[in-house]
Amino acid sequence: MLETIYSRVSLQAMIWLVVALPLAGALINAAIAAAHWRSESPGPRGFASLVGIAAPMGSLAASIVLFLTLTGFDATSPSAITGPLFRWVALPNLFVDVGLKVDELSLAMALTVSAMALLVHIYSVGDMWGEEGFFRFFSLSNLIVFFMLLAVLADNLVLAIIGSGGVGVVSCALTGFRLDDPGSTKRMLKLFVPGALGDACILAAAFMIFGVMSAAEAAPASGIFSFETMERNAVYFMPMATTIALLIFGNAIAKSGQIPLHLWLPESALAPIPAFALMSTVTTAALGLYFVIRLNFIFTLSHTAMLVVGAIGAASAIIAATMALAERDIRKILAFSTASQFGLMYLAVGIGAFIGAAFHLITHALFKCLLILAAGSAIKATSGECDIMAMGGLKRRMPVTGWAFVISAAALAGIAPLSGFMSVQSILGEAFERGQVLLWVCGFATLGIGAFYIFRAAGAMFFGDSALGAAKYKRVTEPTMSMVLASMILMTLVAAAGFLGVPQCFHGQDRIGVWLGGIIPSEVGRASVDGACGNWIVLAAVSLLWSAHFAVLGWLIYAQKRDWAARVARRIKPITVLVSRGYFFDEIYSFILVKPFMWFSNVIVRQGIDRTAVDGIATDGAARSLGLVAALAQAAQTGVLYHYMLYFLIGAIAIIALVAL
Amino acid sequence: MTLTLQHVLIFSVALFSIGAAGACVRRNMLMMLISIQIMFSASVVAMAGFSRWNLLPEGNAATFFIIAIAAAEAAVGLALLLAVFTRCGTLHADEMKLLKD
Repeated sequence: MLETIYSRVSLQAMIWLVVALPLAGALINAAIAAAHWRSESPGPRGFASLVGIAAPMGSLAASIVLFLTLTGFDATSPSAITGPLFRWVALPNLFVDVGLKVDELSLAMALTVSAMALLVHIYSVGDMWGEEGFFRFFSLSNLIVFFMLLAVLADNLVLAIIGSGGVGVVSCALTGFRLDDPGSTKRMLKLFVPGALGDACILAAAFMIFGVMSAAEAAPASGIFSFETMERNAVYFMPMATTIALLIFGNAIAKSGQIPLHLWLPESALAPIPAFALMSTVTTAALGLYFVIRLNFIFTLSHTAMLVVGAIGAASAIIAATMALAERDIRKILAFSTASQFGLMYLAVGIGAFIGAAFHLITHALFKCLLILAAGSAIKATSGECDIMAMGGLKRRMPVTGWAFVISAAALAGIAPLSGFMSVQSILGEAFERGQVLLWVCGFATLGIGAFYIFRAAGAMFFGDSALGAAKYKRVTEPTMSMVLASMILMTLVAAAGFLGVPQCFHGQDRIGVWLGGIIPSEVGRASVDGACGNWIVLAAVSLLWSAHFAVLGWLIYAQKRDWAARVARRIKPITVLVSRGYFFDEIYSFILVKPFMWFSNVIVRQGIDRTAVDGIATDGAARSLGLVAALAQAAQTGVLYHYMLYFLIGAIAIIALVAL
Repeated sequence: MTLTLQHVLIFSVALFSIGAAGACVRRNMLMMLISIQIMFSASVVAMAGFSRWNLLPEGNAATFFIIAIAAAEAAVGLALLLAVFTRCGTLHADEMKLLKD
């Protein structure tokens, strides 16, 4: 079968197809959306959803073909470049080609992104069918997949930044998807500002990289910004590594919702559920980490940068997890959980376990996607109920969704042998192995809190007595076919994906580690496995017990004894308030950033410059001086006959005097 | 003492000034019209004086023209005054402030 494909499509064209298909889908659906703007008829929903699903499906198929092709050659590393489609920037000492490159990392990302996109699109046919902006949604969601694939497949930093910018813009559009919702502008702003900050950081990093590379005079024909050139000349980054790495991490903080800039994630959770699933797993949030993993050779040069990355990752992991503990809106619980899980990945980066971070990125995409989609099904079935305490007992009415949520929750909690267990073990084991005990403790704590908050949600939503009211509870059923289908496929993947990366200590193949080992040098990738296996196994067993007991505890309390939790929360009221208000980050930002800015705008700019100087002196001043002349001229017009006569005489005398003298 | 052009011109200026002052000061529009006629006469006197002392016939021709035009102007002015009087019931200039609008 591959033979027939090869005879028709070249390898380069296949790489381009991965990116081009979602763009085509986005354009077609945009055209349909434009044609049916504010129209009463439902429009060609079947065709639009077909296009919307076919685009990521085509990308996935093309990625699989690429994977099979590139792994077919034994001797060489599985990578291929398209070569430049065209030269975008051509200056004497700088040129940027638009070209794609497939290697181990970008292939793994492309497979994950297109597979998740496919499942989310299948789900969203059912979820979005009744929505007014059906076509707009499919257009935007295809577009965000296009930009994400462009970013991960780009062979140079500039093209990757363009893709990242596109992802940011489309994330804003998806967050503000509901046009009639007055809050969506504010939500978009909350997403836009950190996004712009991140873009500024990565652009500054790109400028510094340009400075370093052109000073190194090592720029070969493939261009300064090509990842390959940068990696080959990584040693020149030595003096600037800390600054550049921190700037790249600044972008990652903004995109992945890490601690100082985490406020956009809960806002994006109020977008349509499939869009939220895309944004918090495989597109926006994943993008920051992708840049960090892709540019790992800069990070490994700077000990300080690694320390900062690890510290912020650990802080985000724990703080966001505690925020999820106190939240009652299921969408926001999952958003905080995303911030927390990405914190865990940055923690892994901080100890140098880039492969563990990449592996957890993939498994997190799977189980978080399933969690969000299952939560979305539950919200839809209860006609918009988002408060977990107002649900309950849903599993009896919708068993597939219930199982999907429980399995993915178990994966998040790190219960063996689901996917989350393997990736978290590879991070924690690595942390312990490298002697980073403090970071290990943070990761371990995050795992426990994670197990508790996610099973709290599972227990409150799907088990115990229903708080919905009998009539509403009776109406709860499994959602439409497409949503169930997507959940079932994802369930299989969540259960199975962990076996991609079973550590060698557990007599596994560690396929992910071996696969990505080509990109990430082995000395920073994985600790040696000789003799340390005892530790790994003990650690895995301990953390399994640790998270399992928290999971059972959370499930028991919130499924059976809900009033216990409320009583405990009342007992420790100050802490509850602190955590449930999100550690007052909103208030702090309001006090140190928003209020001074508003004061400056209002008092200095509006009243000082605008009202007084521009309006008062310039605009009104000109008008007032004209008005004065006009008033004088008007005063002469008395309407009295002999006054005119007098003016006439005076004028005549003046003219005669002028002529005579 | 012989009559010179200067005497004539001084007389003309005096006459014109009387007319101008009358036109500015008087409130009755009929008197204002008469004052204008006086200013016309002053210009006629000046014209005739120039014609006599410079021995040019054009001055006399102009004099006739001016007298004719003054007569026409008086006719038009009187017609206007009549119209104003029938409309407003007065010829007092202070009452007429319609020019302002």
